[in-house]
Amino acid sequence: MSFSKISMIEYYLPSKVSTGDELLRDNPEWRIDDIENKTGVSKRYICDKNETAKDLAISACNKLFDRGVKKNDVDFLIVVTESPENILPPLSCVLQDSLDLQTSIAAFDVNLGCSGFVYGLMLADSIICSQNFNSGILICVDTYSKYISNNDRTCRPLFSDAASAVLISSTNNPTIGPFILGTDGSGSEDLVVKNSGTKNYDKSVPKSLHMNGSQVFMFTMRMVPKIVENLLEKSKNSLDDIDLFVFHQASKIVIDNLKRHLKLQDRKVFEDYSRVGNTVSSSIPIALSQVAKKQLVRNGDLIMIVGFGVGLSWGGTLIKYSE
Amino acid sequence: MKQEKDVILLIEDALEVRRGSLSIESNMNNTEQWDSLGHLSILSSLDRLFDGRVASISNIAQADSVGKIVDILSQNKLIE
Repeated sequence: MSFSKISMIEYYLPSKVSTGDELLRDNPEWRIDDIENKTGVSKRYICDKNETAKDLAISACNKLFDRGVKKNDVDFLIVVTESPENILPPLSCVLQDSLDLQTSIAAFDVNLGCSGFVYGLMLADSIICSQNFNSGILICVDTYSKYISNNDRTCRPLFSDAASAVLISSTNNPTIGPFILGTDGSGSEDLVVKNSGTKNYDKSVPKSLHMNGSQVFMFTMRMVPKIVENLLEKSKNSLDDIDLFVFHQASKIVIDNLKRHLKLQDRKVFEDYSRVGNTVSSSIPIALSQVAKKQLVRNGDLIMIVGFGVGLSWGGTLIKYSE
Repeated sequence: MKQEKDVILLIEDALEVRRGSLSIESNMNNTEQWDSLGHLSILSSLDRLFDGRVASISNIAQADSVGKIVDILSQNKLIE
């Protein structure tokens, strides 16, 4: 029997940092202190005009290779993104070539946002458990800044561009799972980039990210506690058995309210939004890399991860930490 | 049981506006501080006040005035 484990995590942030001063220059009427107090985000990492998801993904993967990951050991490549360079071909196929990976690898894209890492992890776990493949890379990458208008007070203060690259390998003991996944497409208009696909829109409809913040917030408050409860039930664990919760790093107001709903102590919930902003599907793997770097968990500790967002879509799982 | 006046006080605190400055007629259009982030503060404060029961009310997120919020809370028997 073969199981999967997270062997290594790397990530890349663009070099350009967008500060509150920059937002204020573009929008003098914004109350920046108030925005930063509520979102918890005081700086964002933003791509240059000519920098794309492909560039960020390559930089993140190269960090894995620099740490000794052999390209010939990569059997599959999963790319979670909603901002590929083109609608087709899949970014994963382009990256196979750019990263000089073997042509024998399986490569495909997953079009999901903030739940995407959990979905990608479930797919990688299933692929490895099929015993046809030994290891692969799960990339999460998005450049939402290219969809956000300068005067969008809901989205611009929150989102950063980023890529994460996670090496997932086979192991003899289970370290990931079970999974809870879910979907409610009735909220599909609550987080949407219109005029971005093949649907025929009026030219006046901008190709920019629209987020109905209050609907998404209430969805999160309703759904995430249920995911946690269902995951505990499915894994036959209690809340006390979980050593650390790593939620999608949506914003301060979201994380604070999840802690309140679930009656979680601060020390049990890792927070990373203030350092890097909301990095969409990369937020959980980036947070996990920080958890490891700061040695906040020990071998055998249980980490619960929960992603939620665009779709509306959600997913959660447990990770038994191993160095 | 909480009343309409308690909800108005809560909204004033959530928006960080002067006590007594809002009324049942106040809404997102006539209250400068009531922007999208202010709306999240209101929803968060309401959910806290009513011990997590507001999150399960499906139409409260769209309630963009004090009057609508009071009506929805009343329909859900959270206020008198």
